[in-house]
Amino acid sequence: MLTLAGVDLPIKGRVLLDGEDLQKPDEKDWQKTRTDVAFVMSSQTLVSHLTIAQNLMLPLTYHGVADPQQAEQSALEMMAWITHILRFETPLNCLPAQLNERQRKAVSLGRALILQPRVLFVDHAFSNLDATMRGRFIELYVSIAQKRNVALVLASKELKVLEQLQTQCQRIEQFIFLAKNDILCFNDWQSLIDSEIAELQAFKALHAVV
Amino acid sequence: MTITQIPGATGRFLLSALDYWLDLFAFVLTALRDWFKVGALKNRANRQSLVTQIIFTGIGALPIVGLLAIITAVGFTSQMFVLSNELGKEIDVAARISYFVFYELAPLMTALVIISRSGSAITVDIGNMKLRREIDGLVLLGIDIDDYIVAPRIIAGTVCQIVLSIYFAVIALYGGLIAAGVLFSTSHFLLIDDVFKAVPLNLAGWFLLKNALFGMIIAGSACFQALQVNNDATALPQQTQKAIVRALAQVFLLNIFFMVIAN
Repeated sequence: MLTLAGVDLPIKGRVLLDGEDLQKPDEKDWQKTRTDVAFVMSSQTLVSHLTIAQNLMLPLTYHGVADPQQAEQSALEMMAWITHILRFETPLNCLPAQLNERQRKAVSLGRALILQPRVLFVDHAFSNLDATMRGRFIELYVSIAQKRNVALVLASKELKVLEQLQTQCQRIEQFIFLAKNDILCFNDWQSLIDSEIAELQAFKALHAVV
Repeated sequence: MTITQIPGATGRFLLSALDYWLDLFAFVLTALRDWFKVGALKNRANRQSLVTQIIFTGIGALPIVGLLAIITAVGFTSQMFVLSNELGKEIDVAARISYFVFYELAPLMTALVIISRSGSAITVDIGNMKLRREIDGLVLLGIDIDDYIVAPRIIAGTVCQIVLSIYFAVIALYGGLIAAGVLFSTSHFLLIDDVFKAVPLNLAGWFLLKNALFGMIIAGSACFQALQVNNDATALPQQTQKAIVRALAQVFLLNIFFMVIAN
């Protein structure tokens, strides 16, 4: 995931985004790449001594995209949009430690989206969420892809949720299974499910029930 | 350990100390070079980080540094005035005490306060961020850790060490005179003018350099050790302890170096 997002160097080959190499040694280019390609690792990466609003505003003020008033407005709008879809409130003037897991996940997504990236990578996209919340996060991911026109790369072990996602989202380009020594690509969900590859079969047996 | 192993152990210790010092020097230099090169001060987020650190390290330390200076004035400087007054001419008394308080006592006492107060806080703060992968999160947002985290703390540490040192010296000197005048003899009040006239201003460059280096070493050590914290939670107290001990050792060694150079 980190290699695909242009963070880690590939052992061999190049990672291209619209024909442009993501690996650039220059600091300015690196910052440009990071504003184009967002990456959400887990909900724990919010800066703990900044409030939720400050966490959301930080990328905008650091990259000089907006002044504090505009940044605050963008943060408000972003969280309003996300919480409207997820149907729960997230206070903006408290610290990350005061939020629960789903709220922190929502804020992490908001912070990643606030720079309007072209691609968004989400690791552990559905972890630590109950069934209802998984459904709502699926709605959120579909909205991000369709309404904000962001290419999404989601990583998850939960096959049931991915199955639900693929029924709701019409345009899933590819399913990628990261095996121990191989990367397996499938053009549609059915071919992934029908695959006879032993490692994939074992994975399905282990993770199908969530 | 046998006696034949002592030279080897000493050599290894000195080499590792030199290695550490070179790493720290490169670390501080890289952070500051990038900060000034990219014009990080224009960046609002960096500026805010710097101001926050100055408030914590500098303004937050004013009461404790002031209190220490008053204690020093009453318990130490005042007695120096009394003792020296009996030994030499008044102007010599003022010159010697001014020199000692300004160039020796103030930088050292201020450094001790900053090490114990801000050095440990910086290590715990950044170490926790590293442990909780907040630093990784910032890097993934394209935020340069040197610009946003390290350089503001080093600059704030440097500025605050200089300013607090002057603040300490002024209180310790004037306070000492007042205490000597009130407690021992009112004739000490006559020295009020002489004391500041006697501060050897030709050593002002050394004073600034010494304090600047103290500040850089304290904040640099704290940031450097904090960024060594890995995913192990026990690494944080270990690195905090290292940051404090190493900063103390370096400050005392540097103080000896400046004492020799300035004299």
